[in-house]
Amino acid sequence: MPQGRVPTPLDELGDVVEVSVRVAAGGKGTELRARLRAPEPAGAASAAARLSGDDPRQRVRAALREAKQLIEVGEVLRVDPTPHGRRRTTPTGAAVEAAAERAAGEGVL
Amino acid sequence: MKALCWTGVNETAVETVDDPRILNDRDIILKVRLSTTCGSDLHLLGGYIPSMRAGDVLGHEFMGEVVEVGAAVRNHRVGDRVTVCSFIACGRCWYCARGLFSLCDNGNPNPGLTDLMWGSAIGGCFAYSHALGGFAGSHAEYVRVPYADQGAFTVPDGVSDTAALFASDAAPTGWTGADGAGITPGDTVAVWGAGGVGQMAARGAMLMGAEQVIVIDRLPERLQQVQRYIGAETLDHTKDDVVAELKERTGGRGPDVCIEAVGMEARSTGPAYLYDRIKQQLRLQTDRPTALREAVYACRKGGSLFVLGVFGGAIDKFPMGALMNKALTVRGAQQHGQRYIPRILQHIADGELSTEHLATHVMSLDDGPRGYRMFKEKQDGCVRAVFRPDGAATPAR
Repeated sequence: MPQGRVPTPLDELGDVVEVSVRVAAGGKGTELRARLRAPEPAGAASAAARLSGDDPRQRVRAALREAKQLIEVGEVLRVDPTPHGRRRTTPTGAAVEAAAERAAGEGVL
Repeated sequence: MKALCWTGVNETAVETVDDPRILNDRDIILKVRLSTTCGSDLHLLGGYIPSMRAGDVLGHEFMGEVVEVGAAVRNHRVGDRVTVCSFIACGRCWYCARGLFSLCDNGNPNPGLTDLMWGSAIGGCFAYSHALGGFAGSHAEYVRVPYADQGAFTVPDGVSDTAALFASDAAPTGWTGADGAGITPGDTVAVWGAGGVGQMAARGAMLMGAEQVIVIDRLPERLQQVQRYIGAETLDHTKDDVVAELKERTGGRGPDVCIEAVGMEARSTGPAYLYDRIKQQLRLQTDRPTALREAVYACRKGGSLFVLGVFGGAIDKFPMGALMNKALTVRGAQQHGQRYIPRILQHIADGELSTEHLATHVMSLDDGPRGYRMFKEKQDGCVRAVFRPDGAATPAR
């Protein structure tokens, strides 16, 4: 671990995750890994957790991405508040908003 | 401030929105002098790229004057005249360090959407839906530019605002294709699409040593621009059989390098085009790959194909047999402008690259909805409708 401690904001997750670091193959930098200690939601519970935005994996992904930005760039890129025109309330608009709200914590891994 | 917003499928409106402000230390705020429509906006406008929200400010190709600078910005100060890369990249991650700026790991605050859609997230882009970050666009009086030391480039004296405008996206996108396709001196290059990006790809190919460059389109005014300002050959796909004509002009071999600068809403004639339109409207395929298929078919054995036109999702009837058996190399990318913009500005300053001619219709931002209609319907020979947020309009060329 760099300077012997877990990088911010992963450190805020405390014992929820197990964090490890290793040198990436082929000089592709350093791999920072975080894994939930508790079992991940599976099956229908997984879909429900992801849709509700209350999935513990989303917190871990978001924290990993922020830690990477702080290490590489020194700041976390923000987008909100962003200028916009009138937001009409529509089902597709609500779906896009919900997807964007969860996007920092969603992903394949 | 005033801004041109997407309000629904094929609808835009000028609205009053909040001014942008500095959110990160590496940001600048730009007073927009010129901001142009781009062919890739039409995919957003038409609802082909999901994750747009009513009220999103459009525009990703722009230039202007710096009016505010974040605490960590080193290369710019208030008053600088800059052109800005449409893709937002940190300049520090593994991809940026290798010049693959549009693949930046850190430039998209909504990485989960493209990570799930494509298997990996790419960088952010101004006004290109919430999947590419949800950043407000440049069809506005002011715009916030993150990572300004990486993405904003000072325009040299002697390069006009209009010329510098297209160094933001059209030209570096063309350069990304020409360079990424691996052009070697003496190559024959065919470019599908004579819009801004196709024209710039053709000129980039010539400056990289291509001996013969052929640009394919159906609109006479665009093909005339290619001949007059780019200096390349042209081919009208409504008059000639494209593949046969390309073979004819290359001694039967086909082009060494094919660059597709059309994307997911390609136009053509005949039953295959009708088939693609129906499938796309029924959402059985998201993208219409007419030009892409033709490029695969036309490319010489062992040749190289670069996909610059924007595709969002899945296509149908892709000629995989031709690709595999002819041993083609296929690549694609959004633009890595941070790598190419300085040399493009130099080419413009040296008189080797013409870009101003693309701005066929310059108008006030208040005329934005009309500008997009003209651009979409190709009315009055419109190649690009360009907006001036300060209100001044100049007559069409």
